Amino acid sequence: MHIPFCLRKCLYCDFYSEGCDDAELRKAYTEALLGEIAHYGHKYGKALKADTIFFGGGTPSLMEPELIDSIIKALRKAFTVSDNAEITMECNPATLTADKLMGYRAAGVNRLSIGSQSFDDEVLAALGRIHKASDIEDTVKAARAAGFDNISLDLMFAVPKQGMDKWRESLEKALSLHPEHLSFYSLEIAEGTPFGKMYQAGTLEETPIEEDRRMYHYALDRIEEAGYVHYEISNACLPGREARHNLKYWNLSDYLGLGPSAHSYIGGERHSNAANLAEYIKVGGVGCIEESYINDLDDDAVEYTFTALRTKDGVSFENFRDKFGQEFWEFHASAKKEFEGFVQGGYAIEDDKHIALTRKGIDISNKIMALFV
Amino acid sequence: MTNKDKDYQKYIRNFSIIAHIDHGKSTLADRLIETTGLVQSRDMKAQYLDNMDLERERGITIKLQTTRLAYKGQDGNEYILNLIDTPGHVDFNYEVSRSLAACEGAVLVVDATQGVEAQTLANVYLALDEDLEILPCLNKIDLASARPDETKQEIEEVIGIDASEAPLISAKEGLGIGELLEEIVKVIPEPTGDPDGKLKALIFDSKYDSYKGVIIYTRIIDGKVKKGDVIRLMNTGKKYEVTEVGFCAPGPVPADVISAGEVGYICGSIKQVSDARVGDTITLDNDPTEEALPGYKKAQSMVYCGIYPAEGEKYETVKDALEKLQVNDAAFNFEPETSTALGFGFRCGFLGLLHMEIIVERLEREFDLAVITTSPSVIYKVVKQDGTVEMIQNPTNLPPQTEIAHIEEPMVKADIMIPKEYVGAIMELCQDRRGRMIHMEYITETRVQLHYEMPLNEVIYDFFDALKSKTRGYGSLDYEFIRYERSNVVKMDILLNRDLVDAFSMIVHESKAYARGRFVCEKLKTIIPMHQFEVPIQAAIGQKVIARETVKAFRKDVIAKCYGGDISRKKKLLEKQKEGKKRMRQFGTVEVPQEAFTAVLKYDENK
Repeated sequence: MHIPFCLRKCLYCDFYSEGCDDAELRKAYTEALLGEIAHYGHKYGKALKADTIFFGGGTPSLMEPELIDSIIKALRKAFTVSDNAEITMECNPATLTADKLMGYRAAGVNRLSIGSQSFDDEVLAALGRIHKASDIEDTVKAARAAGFDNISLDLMFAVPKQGMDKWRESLEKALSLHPEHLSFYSLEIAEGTPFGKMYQAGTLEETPIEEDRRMYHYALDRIEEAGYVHYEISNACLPGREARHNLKYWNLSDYLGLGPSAHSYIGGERHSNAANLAEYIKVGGVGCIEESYINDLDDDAVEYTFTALRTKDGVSFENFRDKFGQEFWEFHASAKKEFEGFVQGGYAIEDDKHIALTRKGIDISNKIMALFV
Repeated sequence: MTNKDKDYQKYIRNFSIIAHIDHGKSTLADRLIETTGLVQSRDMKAQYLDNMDLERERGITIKLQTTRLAYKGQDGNEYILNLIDTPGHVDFNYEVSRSLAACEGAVLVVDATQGVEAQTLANVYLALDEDLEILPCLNKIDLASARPDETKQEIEEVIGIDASEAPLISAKEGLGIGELLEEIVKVIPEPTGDPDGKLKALIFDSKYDSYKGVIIYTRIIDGKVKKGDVIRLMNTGKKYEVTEVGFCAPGPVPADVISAGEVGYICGSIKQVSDARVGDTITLDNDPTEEALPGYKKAQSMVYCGIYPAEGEKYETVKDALEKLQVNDAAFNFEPETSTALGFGFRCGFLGLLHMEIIVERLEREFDLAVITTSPSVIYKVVKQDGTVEMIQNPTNLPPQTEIAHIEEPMVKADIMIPKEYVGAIMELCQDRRGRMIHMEYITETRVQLHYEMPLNEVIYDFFDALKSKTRGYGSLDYEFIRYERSNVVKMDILLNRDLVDAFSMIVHESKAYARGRFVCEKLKTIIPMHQFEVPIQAAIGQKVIARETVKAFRKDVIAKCYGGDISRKKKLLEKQKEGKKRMRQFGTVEVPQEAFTAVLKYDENK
């Protein structure tokens, strides 16, 4: 579920969102979303089984709890949503109150992904975030009080004005809040964003690669020491607390994306909605697909390979055989020789059951994944 | 036109349009063709747009086109206007001058919003050299920023011709075209050749046609020529039987005869354009004129470089393509050569760097071939200890230092025309390029001509670009070879991970070697991707390393984000990465992207 509203766009963000100071607009948007849900409800009906729901953004926590409630209800009505479904909502610490949190919890949201990004006000300001470090702690406390027992914190590193010391401090503060899950991203300067423009104009400096990687590996060491499992390139969790929803992206499961700019992979077809809120509302959420592509088995095999390589477990040859009816190294014969070079260099591991990236390999994962596309 | 009126030449006007880039020459040509209505506008487009991407992008005309227009004058007479188009770059100055030599006048188009600019002037001087009558006109008069009065004044002051009567036109909007046509008839003199004299005709262009063989575009000065005549090309001495003559409209329209004063084409089963070289004089074999027309020059390659197929197995395809290009381009030549780094390829000769770029782009666009070009080089004269002389156009073939007595490099006489405020900057530029000033003169109060002697090696890289950028586009350049001169040039090699890559070797002046070595190393550092190991890049003269950079071993190439389920985006990225890898050449253990070879050619000295 894409919620395309933001109070203010962060300087690095290249996801689709619009400003939103208007309860009417949020309501109208919810109506359109319900329209799209009903549309797919007709198409797939109860045969479509979901065990995760994810509200991403934008800033889903700008939505009134009643609106979230009506969306979840509509989803449950249209599809078969399991009772113990993981229902995650992304939120911005500056947008939450105890009441709102209780409202979301009552609506059925049971997992929060908090866009904390940093526990340093200067770094937060540099990123163009609208919240302060103290908001994060308040939010986590309020969320716990509201009954959330599955919380994820997002953290960013290799950010301007950060440096190793502040990164360490942020990490410690995050750990002190005992989140069940942690995501940690190095800053990517994307074209078209304010950061992208600043970078081109020479007013924004990229963190040197060495420093970036020092920060990353420091975090992995520290997180593992604190008992977290590093299960995907940018994600770690307490045992058993993997983000079930995100894992679907990496193991070729179906997912239905709703809202402007949302991406789906369902029934072997990838499609995406146009990133146009006004149009989406105008047509009531139906007929906004902008691009679609039907994967053949080879596409699937390729995508499965490079996405699974993001995970700790890597690609299991048995799973690959089950899904695609072919031996992994038969399908990827042309990549074998070079991949072996990476194994020898300590960038990847390989046995007769699977391949996976090592920590060192994660640093250059694109190079290795590109062998398989 | 078998029964020609005795006065037929009275109703012919042969002219070119000359202009600075973007002042509207092509638009005006199109408009004239359209207005006179000789060809359907559809055909005209086909003619004018064919293979013209390159010219459009670069804002230059490379290939000439000739069109015959029918115009009914206000005096009630039918006139034939022959429009002879000209290319617009210093590499092709010779072709421009021959085209102008086929005319009696030139329409000088000046953009009324821009005023007189460098090429305007360079072309005007070429036209004046050929004693042409110049008819100025002001274009883009429909724009709010047009300043016709100032522009007229500029034309008068800078060029020194009367512009008071210059037609005000807008080629784009079709304004003032009628008036301009009338002026062409009035101002440009009629041809005055002797149709009964001995045949004397000028080749101002030629192109290859797969059915007719070479089509010679010609201006008949005296006499006439018809099908069945045996013509002789006076400079090459070759003879051909004429199979067809005709006019250009702009496609060929056969005629019985073409006579003095007329512009048309001749075919004679000629196999290669180099057999009918621009500037040559056509006469009849059995009744030849005594004197050839002045100004003939043999095509001379000034710049050489290696061209290699990006994929080795395409060697034959590249060879076929080069042969086809050569058939249509007298100034281009090639022969096979081998590089240890790049395998089998060709050493190719060009008029200049632009000419080289054009050939390479045509290979890529018209023949869909990916090629790698090596550093361009001039021809060095190497005098060996034993007294023998070798002409070297490939740095790799330079004999060992111990065998060389001395090396000589080609020098050119460079004429540079600039507004006076840039004199300081350009003198500095020339000095930096090892130029010797011979003379400097004021052409007008505001314009200066500098005469330099310079090594050709320094001119070919990007001198023209530097001149343009340092004079805001107002500078113009003409150069010609004068002699060989002794020079302290050395061969500089590039080593990647300690292996010499011969395709990067170049001959440079000793005084420039360090800077150039540093530049190439720095450039390669930004282009060569990171490997699993460190890659040292070294520039060396003999055993001596003069510059070094290192590409660090790779450390990071990872996408942190998952893009909210947008797998396609990530897939595209990985596909791009894989595609990029395919375009790499493997040198020993090092992968080098193909663009590295072109990137080291552009020497940006402002850095």
